[in-house]
Formats: sequence, structure tokens, C-alpha cells
Amino acid sequence: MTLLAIDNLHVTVQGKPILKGLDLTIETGEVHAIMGPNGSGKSTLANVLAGRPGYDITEGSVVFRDAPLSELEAAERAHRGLFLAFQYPVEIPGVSNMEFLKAANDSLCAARNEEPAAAVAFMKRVRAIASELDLDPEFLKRGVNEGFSGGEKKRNEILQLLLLQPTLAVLDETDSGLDIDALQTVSEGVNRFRGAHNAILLITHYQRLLDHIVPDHVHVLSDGRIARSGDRHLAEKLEAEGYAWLAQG
Amino acid sequence: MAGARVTTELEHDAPDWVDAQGLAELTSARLASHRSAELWKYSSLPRASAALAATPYGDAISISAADELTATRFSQLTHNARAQVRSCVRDAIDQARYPLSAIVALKAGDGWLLETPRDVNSRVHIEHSKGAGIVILRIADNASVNLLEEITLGDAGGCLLLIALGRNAHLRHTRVSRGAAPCAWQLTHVTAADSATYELCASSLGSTLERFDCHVQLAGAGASARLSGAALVDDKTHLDQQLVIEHAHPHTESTTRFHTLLRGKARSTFNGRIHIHPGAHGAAASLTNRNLALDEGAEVNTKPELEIYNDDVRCSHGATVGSLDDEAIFYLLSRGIDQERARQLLCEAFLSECLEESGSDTARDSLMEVLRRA
Ligand SMILES: Nc1ncnc2c1ncn2[C@@H]1O[C@H](COP(=O)(O)OP(=O)(O)OP(=O)(O)O)[C@@H](O)[C@H]1O
Ligand SMILES: [Mg+2]
Repeated sequence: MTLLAIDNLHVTVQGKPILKGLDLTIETGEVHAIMGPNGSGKSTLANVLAGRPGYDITEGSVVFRDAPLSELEAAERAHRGLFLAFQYPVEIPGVSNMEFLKAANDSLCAARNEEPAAAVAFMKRVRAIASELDLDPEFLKRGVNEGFSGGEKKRNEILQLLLLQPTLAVLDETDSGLDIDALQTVSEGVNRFRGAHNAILLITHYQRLLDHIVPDHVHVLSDGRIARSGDRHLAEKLEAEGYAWLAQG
Repeated sequence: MAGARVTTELEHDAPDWVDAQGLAELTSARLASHRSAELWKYSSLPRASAALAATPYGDAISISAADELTATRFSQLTHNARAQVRSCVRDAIDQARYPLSAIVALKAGDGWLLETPRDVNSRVHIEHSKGAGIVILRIADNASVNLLEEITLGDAGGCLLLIALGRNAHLRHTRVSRGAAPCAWQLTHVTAADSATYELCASSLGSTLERFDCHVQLAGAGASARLSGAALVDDKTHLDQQLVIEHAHPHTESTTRFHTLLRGKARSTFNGRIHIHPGAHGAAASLTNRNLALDEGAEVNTKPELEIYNDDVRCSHGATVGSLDDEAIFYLLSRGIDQERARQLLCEAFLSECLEESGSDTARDSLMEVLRRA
């Protein structure tokens, strides 16, 4: 089943064209990796999918689970099963991580007409996921991402992924900032999440991540478009040769 | 003019334990002075004085105290004790900075003297629901008191709360103001002796005209104060908070953090003045005031002031006025939390952040209840 269908997507940010005719289709059960030079528009794609204000679709369309994405508010996209692990997760001092997770979980349950988990059971579940990710339970009491190191922030994103169980997870450079052990732990988490009923869009600069989370498809984003698509071997070629050879076609 | 009307009422109502002679004239002169005009730039002093002068005569404060603490009406005090009270009240009134003190003193009728012996732990609950009142709280050396003060004025009211902390004494003062008065004024005046600690945890909702003057004198070596205040000021509501922290002795320390959240056309004024006297070597003071305006049309006046007569000190102060963080909102939305709840979470965080260290649930809950209501 097609989860996400992006057709000829053009996006401007503050009047500046960033995405210039991007096509991408993701089926359930698939893992897609997007690589590409700095500034090529990878995070822009992630943000426009998540519904960040200020990203204007000027042409083309995005359909997510049969609904035109542009008609959905950011929260509704999440209700429908979209999740973005941010490249730079924001710090929210004063809102405890646990309180935040509960609010997010309750919102998703409400949208699905499910009964939200009771507080004690919920906290137990969150702690279990935190321990799988080697995240000290103390982090749950702190403000959301407040004073977290780069790697801790990324692990906190994956904690949310595992807790909220979206249908499409967009992971924007979740591997950057992780040490070698953390990369292993986080990848194991993502692989546990991976399944026949969901899909993952991995944005990364490094082949290393793709050794852990093996993608079905690899795309190269360059100057706002998919310049090349292939299987995992494309990533290996990029790792060895960089992006320059793409320009020669 | 408001001043003239005040004069006649004061002479009429003077209670015997206040040194009333000349007080009315003094008050009128103060109300009219330039200094007052400056200190009351954003709150109407004529309106406040007229409202307080029109409150009914008679003490309006109720006290419930634990056994270790003696609570005595001024009228029941011995001659000597009464003389002491008189001088204590006079000291408060003498401060030209607080022109409303005399009106409140004269309107209060009877007052309360609360005293602890040395070395005890105690607690006391003060409720101020109407009119004018005076409370003197004396905490003896090494004693520790937990004070909960609730202000629920429905009509104009004022209060003098005069606190003296002995050596190494400790006061934890939770102040919850949630009235809806045409005018609410209070002076909390604290004197802290050597190594005494004063901890204020305040929450306020503002009123038609609400003014809180808090004056802390760190009057002994090593005395310290930690003041935190969270306020939620709603549409058409006003709150004016004026703090003075005087470091008069060596190694005195103060930390002040006030956060104010404004909704609709709220008006908030904050003035935090840290005064480091020449003898206060090694003093440390920090003061932060943050304001968060949710809607257009709110008015914030904030002014942290430092007056330092000493090189050997550590001081920092800062004030900000801002709106909700769009990045944070988007993060919450992206997790499925709706706009309204996202804003609410950030507002709660803003208010509880400043009460966090003091850990007062009472102060916090009073604000959260109102925040969640709307
Ligand atoms: N708010 C903004 N205002 C102006 N330009 C922006 C804004 N956001 C992104 N851009 C520009 O859009 C282009 C694409 O940025 P984007 O963050 O999508 O790149 P990226 O592929 O994720 O890069 P990286 O690998 O460095 O993360 C860049 O040139 C960037 O400067
Ligand atoms: Mg990026």
C-alpha cells in the first residue's frame, strides 16, 4: 500500500525556492534513505512533510495515506501517523519530558478514539523504552531536551518514535551526534520499530547508519530534486566517491 | 483631590497605638510628592489612597498559628510591648517610599503581633479577605517558620506585614494573592539579622489595581533572601510589583526571579531594585524578570535597578519581554498535541519554572487552576 506519494513538489522558504520538482513514493514496509549535500533541501522536505509554518508548497502535491497533506494541520498529520525526528530538537524548559510524552500520547489516543493509558502504566512503559535506549530515567523528569547533549536529544527523539508508533517516521540525521555505541543502540531501536505496516524515511550523510538500518531504496537529493535513486549500493558508491560524479551524470 | 479627603478620615479614625500626630499631614504631603509620582508611575496613587481611605475601620486579618507561636492582638499587649509595636509601625510609616502605609496603619484598628521563641519550628496561616490590617511577625534566633499568606480581597484592602528575622532564623513565606479587588496594596517589609534566610514564593493574579511592595533588608552578615514570584495577569487586570533588596552587610546574598504571564490587555509593572551598601563586602545578588505576553495590547513595564557602592560584589540582573516560542509550539504540534494544549503547556512551564526551586505547590496550583480554566 502506498503511504506517501510526493509528486513534482516545489517548496519555497521565505520566497526562496528550495525544492524544485521532487518525486518520491513510499510503500508500507519500506525503508528509504535520502542522502545529499548540505543545503540540498533534505530538512526542508522533512519540515514540509511535518507541516512547519513558513514552508510554502508552490507546485505539486503530497498525499499521505490517501489525504492531501496540505489540508492537514501539523497536529492532524501526527494523528494520521506522521512522525518527524528533528535534526535539531528544540529545548522546552519547564515542560517535563514525561508530561510532554503523556500529552503527546493522550492526543494520539484521543484522535484514534482509544482510551489513553493510565498514568502509572504509561510511565512504566516510557521507562522501559528509555532503558532500551540507555537513556537514564532522570531524563524523563527534566525539561524536554533541556540541557541534553546532542546525542541525548537524538535518543529522546527515538524514544518518542518507539512510544508513539507512527506509520511513517521521518528521521532527519538522527545519527549525527551519536557516538558509536549510541548509534548501535538507536539503530536497534529503529529496527525494532521497523515493520510491515509502517515505513521509514532516513535522512543521513553517512553510509555507517545504513549498515545498521539497511534501506530498501537510496535516493540522492541535489538542488531540490531527486538526482539519483538506487539500492543500498548507491550509498556505498557515494561514501567512496562523494557527490561530484553525479554532476557528470 | 484624593489627598484632602484622606486627611479628614485619618484624623477621625486614628487608633491609640499608632502615633497619629502629624501623620495625616505627612501622608498628604507624601502622596503629593515627586518621589511618589515616580514610584507610582504605572499605578494610580490617588485612586489607591482614596480606595484604602474608604475601607471600613477595623482589623480584617485572621490568623491561625501553631502552638509554638504566640499571636497577640495589639490591644492586648502590655504597655512596654505596645511601645515597641508603635516604634516598629512608625519605622514602616517613616519610609517615604511607602505613602500608603500610614493610611493602612490608621485604618487597621487592631493588629497582630506574632512571635516565636528561639530554636523552634512553627507555622502560621494569615488570611486577608477584607479591609486593612497590620501583622508583625518576629522570629527569634534559630527559629524557623513556615508562613502561608492568602489574600482573597473582594473589595479594597491593604496590609502591612512587618517581619523581623533573628540570627540564623528562617522564614519560608508562601504568598498567594487571588482576589479581585478594586484596589489591593501590601507592603511586606523584612529585616534579616546575621545568617537569617528569607524565602518568598509568591503567586498573584492581579486585580483592578494591585500593588505589592516588598522590601528586604539583609541587615546582618551572611543574611540571604530568595524571592520568586509567578503572576498571571488577565485581560483588563493590573499588577504592579516593586521589590527593594538592600544588602547592608558582608556576604549577604539574594536571588530574585519573577515571571509574569499576560493575557489580553493586561498591565504589569515590575521594578526590582538591588541596593548594595558600602559595607557589604562579598555580597552576591541576581535578579531576573521575564514577561510573556500572549496577546497584542498587553502592557509591560519592567525595570531592574542596581545601585552598587562596593567593588567586591557579584551582581547580575536582566529583564525580558517576549511571546511564546514558535519553535517549541511546532515541536509540540508535530507530536499531535493541539494548538491550545501546546500553548497551555508552555504557559504552565513559564510560570512553574520560576516557582520550581522553591517547590511551593500552593502558589503554583493557584495559578494553574486559573490558567486551565480559560
Ligand atoms: N528559514 C529559512 N530561511 C532561508 N533559507 C532557508 C531557511 N530554511 C532553509 N533554508 C535554506 O534552504 C536550503 C536547504 O536547507 P535544508 O536545511 O533543507 O538543507 P539540508 O539538505 O537539510 O542540509 P544539511 O545537510 O546541512 O542538514 C539551504 O540553502 C538553507 O539555507
Ligand atoms: Mg538538514
